[in-house]
Amino acid sequence: MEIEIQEQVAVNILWDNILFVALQGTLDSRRTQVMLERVLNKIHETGASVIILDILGVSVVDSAVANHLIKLGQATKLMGCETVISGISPEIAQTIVQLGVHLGDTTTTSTIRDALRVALKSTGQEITPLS
Amino acid sequence: MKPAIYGALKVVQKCLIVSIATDWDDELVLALQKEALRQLNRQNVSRLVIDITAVDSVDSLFTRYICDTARMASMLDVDVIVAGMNPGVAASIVGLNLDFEGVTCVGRIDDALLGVAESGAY
Repeated sequence: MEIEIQEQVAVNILWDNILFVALQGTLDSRRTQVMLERVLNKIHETGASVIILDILGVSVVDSAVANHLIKLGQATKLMGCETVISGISPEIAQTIVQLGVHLGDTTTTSTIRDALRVALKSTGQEITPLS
Repeated sequence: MKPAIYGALKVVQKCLIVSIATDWDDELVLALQKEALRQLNRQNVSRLVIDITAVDSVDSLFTRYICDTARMASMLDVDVIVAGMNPGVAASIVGLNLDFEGVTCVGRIDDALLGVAESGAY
């Protein structure tokens, strides 16, 4: 029996009103479609207002992938959910700019920690050290 | 007034909520647009909430009507929020390369009403 691990996109609840998806491997249009559906359904289910999309595990980022990410951002925005893209490496930043792709008003960060900070801020939450 | 638009418009906390039915057609949407603008003018309303919870299919004209209504309302100094878009509709709008340019969208009507107090409308 063959299990298509490639197709699996898990959308997790990271914090109150914050969802998290870690993307792995290649991001073609079919996988993007599956991911889009899962993400939108989860937003509908939970009423989350921020989603963090971690692209550290994505092997290739080209203009097609960037376009998929932009579309995903537009769709989540229509449902009242802001997208924060994390896991942008220096190479990916260079590629995206050299391709002339504009990610619009999507916030991007290099680490999940920074993305969580952004997400907490926009949902009006805070993590503070004990005492 | 067409019978279909009775009860589709209501004023809650200085917000005018317009609900669009599942079986909307162009005529209904345009009638709602006209009635909404008329009521915005007559009542002391600071925000128009377009509730599309029931809507499960859209086309390019629908998004245009919504964007036009938003532009018209902003000329009357009223903010417009689209609330309750379902996942399928969001996916098809993006798939059709359409966009609600310049219109704020929220998931739930509660969220659409929340902002009114924050924006100092009272």
